[in-house]
Amino acid sequence: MNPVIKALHLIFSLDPEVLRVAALSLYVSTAAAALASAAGIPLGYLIGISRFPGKRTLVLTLNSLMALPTVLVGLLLFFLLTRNGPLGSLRLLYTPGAIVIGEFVLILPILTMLSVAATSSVDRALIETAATLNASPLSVMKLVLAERRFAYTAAAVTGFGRAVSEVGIAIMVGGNIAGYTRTLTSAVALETSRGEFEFGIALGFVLLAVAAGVNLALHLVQGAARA
Amino acid sequence: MKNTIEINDLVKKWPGTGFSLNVPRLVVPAGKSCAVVGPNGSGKTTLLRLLCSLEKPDSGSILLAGHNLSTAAGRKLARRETTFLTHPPAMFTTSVYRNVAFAAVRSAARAADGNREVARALAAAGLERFEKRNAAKLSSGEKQRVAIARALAFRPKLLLMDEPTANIDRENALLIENVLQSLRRSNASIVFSTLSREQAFRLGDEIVSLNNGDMEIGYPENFFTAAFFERNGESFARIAADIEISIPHTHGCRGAISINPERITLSPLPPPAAPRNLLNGRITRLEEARGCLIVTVSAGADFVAAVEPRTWNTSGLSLGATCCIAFEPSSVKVRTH
Repeated sequence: MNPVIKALHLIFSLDPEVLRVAALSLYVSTAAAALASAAGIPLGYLIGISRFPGKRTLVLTLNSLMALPTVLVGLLLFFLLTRNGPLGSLRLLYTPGAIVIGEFVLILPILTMLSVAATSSVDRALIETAATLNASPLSVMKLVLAERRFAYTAAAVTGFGRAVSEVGIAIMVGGNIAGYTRTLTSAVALETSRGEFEFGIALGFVLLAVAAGVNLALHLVQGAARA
Repeated sequence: MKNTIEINDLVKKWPGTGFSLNVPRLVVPAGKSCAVVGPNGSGKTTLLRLLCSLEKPDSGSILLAGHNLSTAAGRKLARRETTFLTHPPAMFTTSVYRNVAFAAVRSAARAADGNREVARALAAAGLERFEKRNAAKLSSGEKQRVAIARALAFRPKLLLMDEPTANIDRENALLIENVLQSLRRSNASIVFSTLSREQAFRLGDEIVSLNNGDMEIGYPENFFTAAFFERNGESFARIAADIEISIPHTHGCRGAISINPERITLSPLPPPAAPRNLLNGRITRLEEARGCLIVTVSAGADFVAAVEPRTWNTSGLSLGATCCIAFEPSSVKVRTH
């Protein structure tokens, strides 16, 4: 049978292994994106709205970290989480939790920098108007988050897209354990190396569908912002 | 009654630009309005931003109801009792109602019934039917009215406005001016900047003129750049090729003069006791403001005189008539460069 047709058959017959791998991928990426949003958006807001010495350097550093190689994150995290490492006692290596942490580290600079950009693009007069209407710093933050909600959502979606498509961290700290830490990307890499092209292609299609879904979500968010 | 604003020896510098704002002394009593006039880049907005603590002065002091704005207590008071209308007005991307409610709930003089307060402010600004409209998508005149309604709902003791009627149509401008007039009748103090000297005269109890960051000690209606010279021991200012004004004794070659419009006398014929400054011109404009007539006379340059209605009625003058302009050197303020 043609490998592509066999792959489509695996998808449409709801193959349990394909579903399990896809579900884990979505779970770890969603968790990483949620955690990175919770930390990165407020951090980006604070950096974007404040004026402090060293801000330029901090922004430059975060910009550089946006291009962080996934294998480097995986390697550093491996040394931290390995049995003899500083965080070895947590026994997180080769667990979905380790992948979540790695992806969180990977996308935090992306989310933070996109949030800095979203905050910086808010009309300064708006913030000053709120301040001269006796608004507290928290009220001003809520106002800015509401004003640029589409930009912050786009940042979160972009972070999710980066997390779900990375492979280095999933392999290095996840270990690609079948039924436990095997994600879409690590499974594609493994199956292809084993010559199991049909399974690899099927997972590739699912990954493509997720990527398309993320892009569609981003498009809808941007469309809503323009409306 | 305490002065709402009292400025002493205020200096604000902008490093790298060479620009500095200098206000030696300015007092705005409670319940009074002060118009700040001057060309673009003269420091009007900077002065307003200093008054609401959005900028910090390099030296000097600003007292708000007796509290120095350089102290935490002063800044807290400024946040509670001052509001600033930016130009152009900044709208929150939500409904007009929510924009106004944002101010109402944060007012130090918050009313028991917030909804009624918002409704009152919307009605005063003629926005009853705009409640549900997205404020960010309104026209510039409508946005300015929302900003005014927001300020009304905040019930400030000091209202600061940057060019409140700039770039908006006449109908909206008139409505805004009416709201400001009614605000003046309440006990709020108003400081606003404007490019229109007529508007400054209409709405301002006090008028401050700024030129390149320096506060002018005079009257913006009759402000002229001048070359100074002496003749027979007297000082003169040449404000146009053929207009020489006798001025108080001064040093320097160039500068500016301003003439107090309330001390210019208009008459169909030259007065019997000829004053030191006597010019002939034609009346080109008449306007009522602050209970007197503002008369513009073209005499090679435009001179503005403020005339009591009773004096005007007995003067025999009318729009388009020729007339004599008379004033003494003591009515002229001089500033040398």
